[in-house]
Amino acid sequence: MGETQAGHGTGQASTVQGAGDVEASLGLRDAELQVLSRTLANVAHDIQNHLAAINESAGWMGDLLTLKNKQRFGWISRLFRLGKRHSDDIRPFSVALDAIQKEIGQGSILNKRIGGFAHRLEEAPSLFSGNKALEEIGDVLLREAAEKGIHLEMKLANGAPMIETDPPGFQLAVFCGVEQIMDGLERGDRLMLEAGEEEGRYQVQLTSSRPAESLGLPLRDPDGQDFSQTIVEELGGQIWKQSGDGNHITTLAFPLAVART
Amino acid sequence: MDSIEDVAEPNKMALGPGKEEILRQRQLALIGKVIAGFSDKIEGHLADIQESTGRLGDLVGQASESTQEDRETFTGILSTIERHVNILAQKSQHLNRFAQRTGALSSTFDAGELVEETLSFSTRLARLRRVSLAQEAAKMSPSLHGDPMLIHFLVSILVDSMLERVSRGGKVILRTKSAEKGVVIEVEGHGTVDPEAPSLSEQGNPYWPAVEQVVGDLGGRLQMNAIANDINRTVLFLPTKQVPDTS
Amino acid sequence: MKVLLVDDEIDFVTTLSNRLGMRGIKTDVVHDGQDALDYVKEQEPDVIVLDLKMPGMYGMEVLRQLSKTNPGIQVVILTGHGTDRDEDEAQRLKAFDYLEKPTDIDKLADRIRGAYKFRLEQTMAAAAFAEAGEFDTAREMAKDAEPLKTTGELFEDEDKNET
Repeated sequence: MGETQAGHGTGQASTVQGAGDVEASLGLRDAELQVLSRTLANVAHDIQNHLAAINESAGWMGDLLTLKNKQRFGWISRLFRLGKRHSDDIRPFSVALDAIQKEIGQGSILNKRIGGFAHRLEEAPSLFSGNKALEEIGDVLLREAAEKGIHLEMKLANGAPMIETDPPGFQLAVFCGVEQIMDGLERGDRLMLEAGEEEGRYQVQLTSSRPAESLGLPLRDPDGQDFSQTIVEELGGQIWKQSGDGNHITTLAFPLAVART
Repeated sequence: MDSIEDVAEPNKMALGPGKEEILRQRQLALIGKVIAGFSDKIEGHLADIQESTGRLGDLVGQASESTQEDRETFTGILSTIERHVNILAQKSQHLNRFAQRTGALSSTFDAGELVEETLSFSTRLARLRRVSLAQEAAKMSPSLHGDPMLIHFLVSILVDSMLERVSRGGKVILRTKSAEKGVVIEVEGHGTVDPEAPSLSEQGNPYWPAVEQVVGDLGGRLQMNAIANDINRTVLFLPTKQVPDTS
Repeated sequence: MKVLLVDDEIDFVTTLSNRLGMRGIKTDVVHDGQDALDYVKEQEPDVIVLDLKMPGMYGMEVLRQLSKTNPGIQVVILTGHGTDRDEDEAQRLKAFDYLEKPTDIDKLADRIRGAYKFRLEQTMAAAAFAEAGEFDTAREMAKDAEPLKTTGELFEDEDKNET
């Protein structure tokens, strides 16, 4: 029987190879992201199927009560006082069924976002909607802001153009930028995230109700560089900061792609 | 195993403390927060669905004049809803636990729980492959110490590659065992091997170099054996400290 | 109208079949891609409602094969979590429509009726050309379906007109 080994202190068994196959192989970070992406996408798909099954079951119950079944389910009329209209009789059922379908609808929206986020994790640099990518991390940003007592508002312009860069990197850049600014804010402060086309670029502008000097130092990487700036520049974009009128504005700008939404 | 022993040295960082590692940590933190936020919200929706399902059950229960057939129809539909809600609730719990670990550089955690999550997340792939997936947990759940995401990465790859290899109708069993100074995670595939599915260590498998690197960095060992014609076993040993079962 | 539902989620597809039945659309159900192709060999349905991710053969492969062997069958994709790439590919393979789960049952019923109507029109148009001796055109008509986006827009327009 064949045996393959890898690892610490085992030596490399004869059948082990692949480490030298640099071109075809994935680096650890890419491999890790791919596995996470695939795992999350599978879970989201699974969840969607269960949500759909619940939705259909609730819908079917509604059908039984409303479609061509008034005679058969006459006991409902008797249950909820004789002589009332059928639509009144089934109201308590309808309320509960509508509530289920409403929850399913909202759950599906969330789940589709997480599915989109999952697929994006392993996307190579490509053409994508910056706004859609921001929607996928919007819940996290809003949640973090709420936990810190900060009023975060997101304004994503309709019809914003597509951008062409590294999708997970773009999400990470915005996430780091927002977190960094929120770390310097206090409860009750405001932060506005606006995204859209500006001067031939796709811009994400973060405006906080506090001047730059009170925001503290930027997150620094081992070279002492501003970490958000490093990521944005690696994505082919630019980042700049300005203060005025008691506000601090950080702008992340990305070059537009040829295609438009 | 009844001895408690500290791991001699902490796991080496796979990527080193440089920019790449910071980038990885920040990315994992974002992923963890996205998943945690999602699972929290979905749990809220599930609770509301459960509430409404309960209300419907009460309404059907009050219908003393209904026929047996009607009641069976309605209760059948409601139990279908409940079944799916329960599956989702469990999945959401696994996601939540997974999210808490995501982004933790190094922590001590239950190996059985990690395997349980991997199993839960791989059910869809198992279903698509028509292969059944089961877990045989150790009586005493061994604990692991290390970078949880790297360990999750390893276990996921081992499980998924076995699911890809075992032919339709086969079975994959996950086992966690305590071992001297470590934990053993076994992934055993029962069934004929799909000749078109490459082995994890085969040339060209893009994950293999990363797997080798992580196993080495964690100070672990990985063995892949064909122990019979239709049984293939992958054994992953990871050094850890043991926590005795006090329950 | 003969409609086939193809989905491996048994609770979901059974309930869907019941609900469509209550709306006057009788359906048969199979649970994987290969069974769908076997069914088509035995009794050609007018419309297939097809999931994408299923055990064995994926829905996209079923669509690919049908587009070669039975291009007249109209396919409505109903998927849990399709990607933009899946939607583009479905469009390229001339699926009639692409819907995501969970979808409104009446919308799905409308799309199925629309797909059936479209199939009838294609068949009648092809027959008319054949009758006129324009066999090449008739063959092309039988082979070609309108792209997904156009039909989707067509029904959106109809919906608007109705309201």
